[in-house]
Amino acid sequence: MKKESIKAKTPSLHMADDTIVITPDLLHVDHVAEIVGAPSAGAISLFVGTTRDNFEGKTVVRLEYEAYMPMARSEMRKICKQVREKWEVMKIAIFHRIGVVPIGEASVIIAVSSAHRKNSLEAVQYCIDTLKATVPIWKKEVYEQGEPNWKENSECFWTKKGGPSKQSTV
Amino acid sequence: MDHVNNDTTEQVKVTVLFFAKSRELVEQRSAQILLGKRLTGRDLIANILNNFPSLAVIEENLLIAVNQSYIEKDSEINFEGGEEVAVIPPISGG
Repeated sequence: MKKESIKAKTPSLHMADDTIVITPDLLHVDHVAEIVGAPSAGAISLFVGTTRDNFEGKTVVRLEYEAYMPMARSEMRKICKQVREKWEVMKIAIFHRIGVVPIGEASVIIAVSSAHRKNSLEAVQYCIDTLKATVPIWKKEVYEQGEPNWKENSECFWTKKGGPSKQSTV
Repeated sequence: MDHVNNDTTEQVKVTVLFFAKSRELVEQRSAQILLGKRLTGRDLIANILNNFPSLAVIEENLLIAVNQSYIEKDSEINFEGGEEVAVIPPISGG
């Protein structure tokens, strides 16, 4: 009986513990880490993706991100749900910046807390790998010289590189 | 491409959204088009390419979402009108 009542409570608690933000504002690692903090957590694992200043020898002057907002959010929510099916984690926060992101700043920050480090470490890796494969966000690199370029993630699930039949569209 | 317009079948109006490279190619963010009520994902892509021929350069790599869900080429879609169809070029978030 006791076990069941705890189980029944879990889903709603977990829903409230997922934070998804897509914003043109500067991302702060401290802020995202704070969101997933919990007294019973023994670990907070973080991934910070930052914008690089070069691509194949070309100097990148800035990056521009755009998102299909409602769908990007719903795909991120799916990732949180999948994480909770695979690992015991406490809180998940996924922040993605859009608009112009100057070189060296964070374009994405993912934080996951858990009682023990293994779960949150694996969950963070899963979050960023899946985000790159399924979340409709695009990045344009603008170079010092030459035409700007829309990038393609190697993880993108429907391009030839990604192997369209290997991954589901879930 | 001859099977694109389902000639006599009833058509409904949907909104098409364009993102990233596809937005630049068609030079607009959204448009309204008429579609047959029952289409496969493959037909839908063909129909969009027919309406927006400038997308041909990325046709190999684009995916379509209907009401914010990815559509596989073989799946069948029933349109009622008013759906949000999105042209999704290869993604590059992260």
